[in-house]
Amino acid sequence: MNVHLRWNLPPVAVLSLLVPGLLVVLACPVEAGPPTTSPPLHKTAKSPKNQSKSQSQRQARHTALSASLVIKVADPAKVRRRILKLIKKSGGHPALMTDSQLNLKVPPKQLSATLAVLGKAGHVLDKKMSRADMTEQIARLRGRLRSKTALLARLRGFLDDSGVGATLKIERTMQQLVREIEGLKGRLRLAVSRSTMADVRIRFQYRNPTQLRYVRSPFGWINSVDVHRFLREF
Amino acid sequence: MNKALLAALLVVLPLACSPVYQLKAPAAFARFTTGDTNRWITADGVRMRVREVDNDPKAKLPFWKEALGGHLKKRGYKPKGSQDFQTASQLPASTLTFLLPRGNGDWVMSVTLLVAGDRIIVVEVVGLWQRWKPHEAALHQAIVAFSPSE
Repeated sequence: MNVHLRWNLPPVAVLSLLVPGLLVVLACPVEAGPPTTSPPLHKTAKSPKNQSKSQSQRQARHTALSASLVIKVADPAKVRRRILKLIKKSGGHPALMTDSQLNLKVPPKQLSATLAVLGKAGHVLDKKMSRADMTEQIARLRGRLRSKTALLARLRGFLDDSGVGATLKIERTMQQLVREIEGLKGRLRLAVSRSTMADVRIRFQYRNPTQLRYVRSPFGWINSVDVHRFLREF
Repeated sequence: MNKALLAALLVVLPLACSPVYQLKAPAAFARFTTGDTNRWITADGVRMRVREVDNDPKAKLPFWKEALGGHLKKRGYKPKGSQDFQTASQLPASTLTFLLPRGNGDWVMSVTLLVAGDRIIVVEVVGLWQRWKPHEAALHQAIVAFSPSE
C-alpha cells in the first residue's frame, strides 16, 4: 500500500511540522569548522604530489593584513602620485583618496615592499600593523550560507503542494531566509576580500612651521634649552 | 673703552672657567678649537654642545627630566622619544629627543642630561632630522662612553 503523506496531511500541518525544524536549523549552523575537502566518489590512488597539494589546500589560511601609517611630507600630492604608481605596478589599487588620506588595497605578498617604500617617502610619525586569521570566520559563513541555501531549496519544494495559508507562511519564511542569505553573502565577500588584499591606510601630515610659545620655567637653565637660542649662540 | 673691555671680559671669562670635556665625538664631528671648545659640528651642519649647570635645587635625574620635558612640550616642541641609560662611568642619564618644524624642514633637538652630584651635564644636539638621523646611534654611543670627570 502506497501512503503519500503529503496528500494525507493538510498543508498547514506540514508547515507546522516544518517550521520548528527550520528554526532549529537556522539557529545551528551546519558547519562551524574549517572546510574539509570531500572524498571523491570513486577512490583513485593519489600520487604523493597530489596528496601534498590537497594537504596544503586544507591548511591554506585566510589572513587579513592591515597597516596604517602617518607620514609627514612636504608635498603630499607628489608623494601620493609616486605611491599610486608603485601600487599599480604591484597589482594593488586605491580604495580611497583625499587630500590628507590614501587607502590602498595591496596584494599581501607586496605589503612589506610597499611599506618599505612608504617609509622612505617621508617622515613616518606612526606605524601600526595587524594580522587577523579569517579562516574560521570564512568557513563558518560558508557553512551557514550552504545550510540556508539548502533550506531555501527545500521550502521551494513545499510551495507546490500547500494551500493558501501555508503558502503565505512558507513565503514569509523564504523571504526571511533570502534576507539572511544576502547578508551572509555580503559578509562572506567582505571577509574573502579582506584576506585576498592587504589594507593599507596612509594619513598625510603637512610640514607646518611651528610657532613656539613663550613659557617661562622656574629653573633658569631650562629656559636656555631652545633650538633658536642654540643656533644663535653656537 | 672700559665698557667694551668689560663686555669682552664678561664673554671670555665664563668660557675660560668652563671645563673642557674629553668627549669622543663620532668621527663625522669636528671639534671647535677657538671660543667654547665644547662644541662639535658635522660637515652637513649637525651641531653638538656640552655644558654644565648647577644641580640646584639638588634633585635626581627623573626630576630634571620631567621639568625639561614638560617645559619643552609646553613651548610647542613635539616629543619624539626618550631613552634612559647609564654611562660607562655609572652616571644616570637620559636623552630626550624633540622635533620642531622650522623653515622647510624638521629639526631635531636631542638633549641628554647626566646628573653628576652638584652638576648636571647637558649635551645638546641640534640639526635637520634627515642629517641627524644617520648620526643618532653613534652619538648615543659617544655619550654612553662620556665621562664628564675626565
